[in-house]
Amino acid sequence: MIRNSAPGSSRELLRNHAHALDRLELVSRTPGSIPGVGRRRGSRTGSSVDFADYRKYNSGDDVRYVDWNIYARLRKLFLRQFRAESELAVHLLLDTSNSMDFGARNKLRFAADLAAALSYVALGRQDRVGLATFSDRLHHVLPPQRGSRHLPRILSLLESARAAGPSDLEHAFRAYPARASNRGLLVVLSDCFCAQGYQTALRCLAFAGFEVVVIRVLAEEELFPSFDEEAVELRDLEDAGAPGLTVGHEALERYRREMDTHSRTLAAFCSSQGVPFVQTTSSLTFEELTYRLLRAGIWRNR
Amino acid sequence: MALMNPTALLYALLIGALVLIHFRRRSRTTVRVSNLQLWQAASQAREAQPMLERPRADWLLAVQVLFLAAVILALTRPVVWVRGAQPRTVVLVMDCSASMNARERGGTRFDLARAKARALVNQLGGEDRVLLVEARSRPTMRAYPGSERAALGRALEALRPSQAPSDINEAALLALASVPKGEPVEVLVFSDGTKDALVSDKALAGRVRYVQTGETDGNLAVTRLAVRSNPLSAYDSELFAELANLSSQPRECRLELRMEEAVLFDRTVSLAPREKKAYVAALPAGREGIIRAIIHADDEFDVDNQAYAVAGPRKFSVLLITEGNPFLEKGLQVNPRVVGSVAGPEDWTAASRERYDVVILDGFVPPVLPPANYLVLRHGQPAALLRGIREPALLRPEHPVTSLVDLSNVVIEQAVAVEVPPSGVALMSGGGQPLMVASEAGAFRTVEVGFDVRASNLPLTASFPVLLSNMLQWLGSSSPGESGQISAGTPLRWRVPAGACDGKAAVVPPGGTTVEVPVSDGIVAFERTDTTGVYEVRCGAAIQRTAVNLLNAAESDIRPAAPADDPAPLLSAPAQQARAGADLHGALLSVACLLWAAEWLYSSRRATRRPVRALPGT
Repeated sequence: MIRNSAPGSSRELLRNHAHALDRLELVSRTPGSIPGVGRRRGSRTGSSVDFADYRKYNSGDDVRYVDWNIYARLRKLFLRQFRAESELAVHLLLDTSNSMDFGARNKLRFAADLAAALSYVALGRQDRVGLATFSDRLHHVLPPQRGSRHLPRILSLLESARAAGPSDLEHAFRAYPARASNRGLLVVLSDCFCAQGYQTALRCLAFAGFEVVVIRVLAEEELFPSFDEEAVELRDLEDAGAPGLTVGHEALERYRREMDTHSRTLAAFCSSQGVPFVQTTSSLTFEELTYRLLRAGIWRNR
Repeated sequence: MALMNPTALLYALLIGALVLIHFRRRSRTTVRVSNLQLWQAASQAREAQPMLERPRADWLLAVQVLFLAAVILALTRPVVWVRGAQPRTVVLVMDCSASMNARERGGTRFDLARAKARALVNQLGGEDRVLLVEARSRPTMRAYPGSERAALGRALEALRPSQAPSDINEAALLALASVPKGEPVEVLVFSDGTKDALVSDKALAGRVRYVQTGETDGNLAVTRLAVRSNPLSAYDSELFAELANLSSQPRECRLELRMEEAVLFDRTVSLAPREKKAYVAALPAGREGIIRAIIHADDEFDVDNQAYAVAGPRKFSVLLITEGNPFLEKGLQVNPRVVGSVAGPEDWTAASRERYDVVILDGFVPPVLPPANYLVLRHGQPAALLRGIREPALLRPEHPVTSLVDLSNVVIEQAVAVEVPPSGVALMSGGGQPLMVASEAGAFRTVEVGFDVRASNLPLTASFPVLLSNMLQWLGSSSPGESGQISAGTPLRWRVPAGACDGKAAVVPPGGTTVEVPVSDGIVAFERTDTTGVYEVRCGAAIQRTAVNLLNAAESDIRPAAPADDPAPLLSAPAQQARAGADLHGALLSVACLLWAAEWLYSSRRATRRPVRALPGT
């Protein structure tokens, strides 16, 4: 399924860890919304092997589903009903703003690898996977599709993704529901650094009917910055024209506290909205990342 | 505390410059971050970037300022004042004159003086500075203030008395000149107190302490010895010797005059206290040789018991430039010690004087006089003439030029006043103006006469040949060695005959050790004549013998003339007063080094701290 992989690319990641990913599936609190041949149980009855309920026989019903054992005991006709199979639409929203182009191990590349892994897992469960990149607006949108042939398109888009533009979550997230035909699990892969805030943006997605999951990607240098000089002049990656900010060593500790507060506030907001939240750093290994997402309930072993 | 170099405080401006540089806004390293919002919240208001940053506590700056302050303070050479014995500067002037050879009980006078000096040196403190000056005919510094005591002791032991007079005044002045001006100094002169050794210079008055050595006064001396022309026969010479009894008791001795091995005179003479007697002995005509005058007496001072003379010195070559002067020409012809040549003014060249010892310019003065010995007779211009001068006065009858000259009844028809140069002396005057001047310039002498001898009756008097002979003798012996006799300690100089040798001459002192000396400008100069005797100068085939004698009545008078020793201690007690003690600049430099090391340690530690921490839980 994965061929022509370049070293360090998402394809190589999937090839190296396909065996582990094959045993995982994405966790969705809502049943599959798309009737079809998916491996998820739908909210409706249908033609699967999973027994769901009985109901009285009505004329015209298929007699193949009559439970003759019950008829023998009760002399009444009941039909056996089964769960209908459905598909889950998984929407991956990848932040490609300039702030993602940061870190000794690039945050954008890390998030792209994570998106590839999620796509691989979802497609392996016959779910539909869509991918969109955004910064202050939506850039590329791949509508959710099913099947192994969709994975190369996703990987191509991930590999071609480049950081550009400032971040505006609200503007991008307001536009996405209109572009998505199906609701389902929506995974936001972003550092959540947005001057306009993230609260309204996440509320928009939830209001549009998505089951939102936020995976925050940060760099180690963002959590624990340091510099040798007595003071440095900081420049914002997303706003090159903004005046610099000169800080000294005395600001490092305060920054760490501010970052911690920011993370706690985001986690608390997500919790209040029922949105699963995971914070990762780009320095994590695949195994560490897998374990962290397992603990957060983003995916699980099948 | 005092600062020895307060001008170094100007370097304190560097501290201000350092502070300015420190607080000057530095060009920051630009770091790109993904999000500036959190940093803005975390940092204080630093967006404003003035030229000078806000002062803040900085240990590095403090250490640097302290380092600079320590260095600057060290440069100012701070010293702390301490109370204690102030180091003294003591000058020891050791009289090494001939009289210090006089015998006393316990050794010579010099031995006694050296023992006193040695004892005094042992009394000095370790911080006292001592100068040792050897007072000979030319004083020499033998130990300097920085010399170690051992070196000072060795220099003191190495001193020997000479056989020449010394100049105590010059030695003391030399010592004082070696001491920084204003610094208190004690000058101690260890001498026997003979008249020449007494320190009488005004500049030294009150600054010199005299340490007398010697008590005896019994001395007989040869005070004069000369070979001179026989006044009865210009072609004969005679030996003149003078003896002096310089003691306070009548003395008797045997005087012996010898020419080489031949005894010319041998007689026992008696002298009353302070009496001088002269003795004359005829010299064999035409003979040359070394003459010795010997006193056989039991006195305490031996150096002056012998004197030397050289008989038969060479003749003078004289060039007379004149348009015709029979008196001068005749005067040259009759002088047996003169080889004369006569030429006209038109024959004068600057090079012609090199072949003659004396040049007589009779009424002719070339525009430029090259160095030589000149007898100049000015005929004068009519406007400046002095007329009708009768019996001109002799101003210095004792001068060699005017010795035995009588100007009675001399009339000068016309003359011109002679200008007296700074190095000249007027010998004759008439009409209130100098008429004859003798001067010396370097190795050459000049006698200038302000009248034409033909315009006076001087050539008709008996004094004329005497005067002319004196002039030629004085001019021709401008180099002392050529007179055949010099005083001990006086440099021996001899103008070697042209072409006699090529740049070097050999001097054989009385000891017999040959010394090679260079010939400069045709003159041989030899200064180490502190030993009496006959010195022989060899320059090729030319040989010049010169007698070096003490012949100094003052030096031979060994009676202590100074008052007895002052009962007060030789050295004043060291002053107990505040003085510059420890120099702090070394300690300050050490502190500066420590601060520099601390600054380096602090800056290196600051550069290597704050590593990136690992992510918790990973």
